[in-house]
Amino acid sequence: MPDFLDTKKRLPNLGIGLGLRRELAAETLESKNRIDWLELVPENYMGLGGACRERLESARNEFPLVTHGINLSIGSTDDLNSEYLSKLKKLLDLIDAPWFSDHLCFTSCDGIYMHDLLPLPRSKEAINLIAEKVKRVQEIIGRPFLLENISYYMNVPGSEMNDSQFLAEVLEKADCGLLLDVNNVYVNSLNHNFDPYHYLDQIPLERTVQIHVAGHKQGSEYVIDTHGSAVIEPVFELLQYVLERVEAKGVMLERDQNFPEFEEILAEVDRIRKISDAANEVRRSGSAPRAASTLKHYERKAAPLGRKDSAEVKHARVLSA
Amino acid sequence: MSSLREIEKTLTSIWMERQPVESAQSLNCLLETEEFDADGARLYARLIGYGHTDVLTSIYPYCAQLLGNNWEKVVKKYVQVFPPDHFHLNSSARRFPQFVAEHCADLLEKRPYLTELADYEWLEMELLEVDTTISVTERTPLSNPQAFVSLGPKLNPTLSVRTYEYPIQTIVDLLDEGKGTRKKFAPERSHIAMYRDPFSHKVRIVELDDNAQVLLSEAAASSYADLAKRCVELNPNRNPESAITDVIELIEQFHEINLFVGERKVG
Repeated sequence: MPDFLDTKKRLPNLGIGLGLRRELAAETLESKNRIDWLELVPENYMGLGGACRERLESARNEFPLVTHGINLSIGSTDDLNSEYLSKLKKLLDLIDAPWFSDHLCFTSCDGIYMHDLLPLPRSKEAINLIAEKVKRVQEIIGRPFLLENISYYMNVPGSEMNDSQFLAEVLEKADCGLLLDVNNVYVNSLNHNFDPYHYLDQIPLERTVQIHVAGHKQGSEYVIDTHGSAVIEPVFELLQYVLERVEAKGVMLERDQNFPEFEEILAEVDRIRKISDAANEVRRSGSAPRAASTLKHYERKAAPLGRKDSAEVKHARVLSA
Repeated sequence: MSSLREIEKTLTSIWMERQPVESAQSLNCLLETEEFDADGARLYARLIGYGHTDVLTSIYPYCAQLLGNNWEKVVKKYVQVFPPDHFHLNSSARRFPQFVAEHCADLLEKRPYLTELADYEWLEMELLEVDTTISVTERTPLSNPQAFVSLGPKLNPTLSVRTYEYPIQTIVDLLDEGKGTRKKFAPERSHIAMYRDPFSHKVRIVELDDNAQVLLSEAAASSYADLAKRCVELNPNRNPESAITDVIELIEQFHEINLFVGERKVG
C-alpha cells in the first residue's frame, strides 16, 4: 500500500454522519436530507441474517457506509482471528466501505473475548506488535484502516510512555489512519489529569480521517464515555480545534443509549456540520486557527462507581445486535 | 521486565475474576515505586461482569426470571466454566444450556426443566440471527387433486423442531403472565416448532401435538397426498375423511404462518 497520507488524499469526503443503531434505524434511514453517511458496528452484521441483514441492505441502499469494529483486538498477543477477518472483509466488500476502523486496545487474550475495550501497556513491545498486525490487516482487507484512541479507566502496568506518545508511535509505525474521538480525549483528560489541547498537539493529527463526537457522564469516581448524553461545549471546541488544523474525511455523532427525541440527535448532527463548515473555511482561507480553550475540570469523587453507571457504560462501549 | 503477553494474561485473569487483584503484584514490570491500579482493575472486572450478565439476561429472560436473586451468581459461574470464546457477543451465551445440564445439579433438582427452557431460549436467539435466506414462492391451491399428489410443501429453512420432556411453552406462558416462578411442573412431553418469519424477521413458535410433529418431521420428503395418507395411519380410529380434512387444514395453517414457504415438485 502507498504511504497512508497519500492514501488519505484519495479518500472521499463523506461529510457528517451518524452511527447506525438498531433503536434509531427507522428514523435514521429516513433522514438522508440531514445525515450524509452512516457508521456501523461490523460485529452486529457479520454473518448475521434476518432483521440485521435487512437493516444493512436498507442502509447501503441509502447511505455511504463505513465500519467501526470492536473485536479485532489489534493489541492482543493472540494471533489475528482469520474467521473474523474473513467475515469483516466480506462485509466491507458488500458495502464497499472507503475505510474501516477499530480501537487501539485489546479485547481478547488466550481466545477469551472480554467484549470490552481494554487498555494496553504503552510499551515499545506493544507498538511493534500492533504495527505488524495493522499491516497484516490492511493487506488482508485491502482497504485503508484507522485506529481510534479509546477512553480508559486504569493505568496499565508496563507503560513506558504517555498516551499521546503511544498513539503517535503506533500510527507512524503502522502507517495507518487515525479515527480521533474528541470525546475520549476530553474524558481521558479529566480522568487522568492532562491538557487535551496539548494531547492533540502531540499526535499526528494529519493522519485523522474520521472524527467521533459523543456525550459522556460524570460517574461517581470517573467521567464515563457513555455515548448517552448530549455533547457538551468543550467537546465541540476540541472538534473545532482539530478541524481548523486538519481535514477529516468524515465527522460523526455517536449516540448509543438514553435516546432523546430523534430531532435532538439531528440537531447535534446539524451543529457538527456547522462547526465543520466554519472550521473548514478557516483552514482553507489560511486564517489563524482558534487557540486552545481553558477547560474546567471536574472534581473526581472518591466513592466507588455505582452499578447503574457501570451498566450504562457497558452498553455504550460494547454494542450487541 | 514482564512481557506484553504476561501483562495481558494477568490482566485478563483479574478482569475475568479468575485471579484476585493482588496477583498483579507478581508482574515484575511494576516499578518499585509504582503500585498496581487495583481500583481501575476492579472497575474493569465489574464492567466486564455486568456485560456478561446483561447479555445472558437479554437472551435468557425466562431463566433469569426463574432464578431471581441467584441469576447473577449463576452467570458468574457460567462465565468461569465457559468464558466467551467468540467475537460475536451473543455467541458468548450459546453454551448456557450445556452449562445448566452439566454444572447445575442443584438448580435442576428443584427445576428439572431448566436445561430445556435454556435450550428453548437459545434456539430463539439463534434463529433470529441465523444467516439464512428465506424465499417464499407461490403455491397452487390444494383443491386441485393433481397438485395434491405431485406437490409437497417447502419448509421454512430456519425451522427447528424440538421435543421436550417438560411443557416448556406452558412454563413460558406462565412466566409471561408473571406466574410460575414457584410452581412445580411434572414431566409432560411437548413438541415445539420454531422458525423465523420471512417478512417480520421475528421468531415464531408453534406448539405441536404428537401427530402434527410426526407430519412436520416427514413433510420435507413428502407430497401433500403422502401427508394425508400418513395422517390417516396415525389416526386409525378416526373417520379417514375427517382425518384428511384435518391434515389439509393443518397444511393451510402452516402456509399461512410461513412455516411452509411454498411448494416443491415431488417425484
